[in-house]
Amino acid sequence: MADTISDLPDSILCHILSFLPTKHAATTSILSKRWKPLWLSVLNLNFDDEAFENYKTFRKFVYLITFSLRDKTLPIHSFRFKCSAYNSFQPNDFNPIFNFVMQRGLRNLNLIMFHRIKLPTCIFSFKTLEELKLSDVQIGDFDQRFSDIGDLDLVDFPRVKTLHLIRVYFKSPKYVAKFLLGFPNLEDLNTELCVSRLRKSLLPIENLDALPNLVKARICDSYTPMCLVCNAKILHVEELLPASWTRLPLFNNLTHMKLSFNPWFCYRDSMWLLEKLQQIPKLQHITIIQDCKDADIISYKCSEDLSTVPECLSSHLKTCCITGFRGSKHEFEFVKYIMQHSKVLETMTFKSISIPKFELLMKLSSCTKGSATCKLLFD
Amino acid sequence: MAAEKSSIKIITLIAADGSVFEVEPNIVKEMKTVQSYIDELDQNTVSIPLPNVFGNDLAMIIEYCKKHASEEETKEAKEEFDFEFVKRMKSDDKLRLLQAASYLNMESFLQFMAKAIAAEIENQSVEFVRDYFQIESDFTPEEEAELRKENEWAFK
Repeated sequence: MADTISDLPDSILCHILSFLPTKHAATTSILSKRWKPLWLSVLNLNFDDEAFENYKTFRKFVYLITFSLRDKTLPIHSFRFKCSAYNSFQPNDFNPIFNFVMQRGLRNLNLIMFHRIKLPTCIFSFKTLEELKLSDVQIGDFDQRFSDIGDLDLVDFPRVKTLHLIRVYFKSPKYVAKFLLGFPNLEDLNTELCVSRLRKSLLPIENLDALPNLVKARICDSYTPMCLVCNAKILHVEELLPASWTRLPLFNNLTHMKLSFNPWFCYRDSMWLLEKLQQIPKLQHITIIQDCKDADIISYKCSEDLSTVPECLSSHLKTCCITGFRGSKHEFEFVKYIMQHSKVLETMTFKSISIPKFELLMKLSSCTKGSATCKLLFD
Repeated sequence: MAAEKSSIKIITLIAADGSVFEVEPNIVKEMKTVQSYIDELDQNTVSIPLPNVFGNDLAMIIEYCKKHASEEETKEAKEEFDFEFVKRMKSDDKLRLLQAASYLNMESFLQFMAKAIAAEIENQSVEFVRDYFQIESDFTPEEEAELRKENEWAFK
């Protein structure tokens, strides 16, 4: 039986090293003769400028490893590049690195940059990539190339399944959809976008094809068109334009939804939540997180105006969870409606309520339950 | 062949210490070593000795496989499970489980353990890592000093 790590094959030791920042992996070269060359055959590169004295030493290190120490014919499966600590970043300094890395069969690319650094245009068409995570970059050159050439095929990521865009700046909202449509096989989308020229083109984009394979989406901005993500099974919305909410498309596959109403989200007083449930016929689990200081910023649409009970309530909804329940009239109406009309509801959960528990129980005691087995839970 | 395979209802795994585990076929799919053994047999009941895996470790691996094979569990629930799973392990456990994963040829569990081990050695000194992996340095002090100087940038 194997009793020490030395019995494991090199490939497994490399696997462990592949999870370390490259600078740290390099220190394992002096563990023993066997370990000395191992770190250079790892297929992941992970550079973080914070581990270096200054920008210059960081740049030197990245070049040394990529072009001198490492065998240049080895593939690179994963490239994480974090350069956010120093102001002096120049894209031109690293373009040779990006160009090289992209030709090594790259699958995962993770760039974490300093505020609004422009992305090198070369990355907009990337056939091998499976996962793309960008933070604090600007999609600027892309914009220019569009207006010059007008060719949508420029953005082409045929194999990407995971796309995370955190604080990614677009020059105009219309490029958001064009960019996202370059990812036809996307399964997991996480967006926190920013758009610089906002007012000109606030028009909601309509008649867009939805991303066909999308499973999971987290939207934390006002610019990701909802019609693009309407195939998702799991959706977390943290911010949305009232216009997008009003014209919510049909979410035919959605089973898990989380809505976070934070102060940025709450700029309209009517979220018409019940009415919108009509658009989500298969919904099984809904979580509502209210993080608004001002009472009644969100009001839930009252029952009498609903002509038919949403399909998700009569046949699918199993759990409903409300965090930050304040006990307003509309909130109670919403909860009562859900409890009355949900035939298969299993749990109704309240978290961080701001009224006494007995008051809540009293008010709900008169409510007839659509599902006999529904439990009230407090957390 | 496909019909024969699907007729297997229960698979018995026997660990190094003789402890016996009965599992459903979908649980061992991730264990390629076991799966290829099953594929070669055409019996209804299968009993497989695993002389390189201890009972305690096998119990943990089966627990992991059960959670991850379940279609009812959400990705979040699985992630939460993974987090707790690693938290209750000691360093030795992780190394033993990595070896077991290697022997059983379990791709995703191996990756999971490799990541957990990487987290333990990240930002630790060379001495710590040697001790952790029980590596005896075969460099002379002079050679090591030379290497440290050569790769000075890595040790800053």
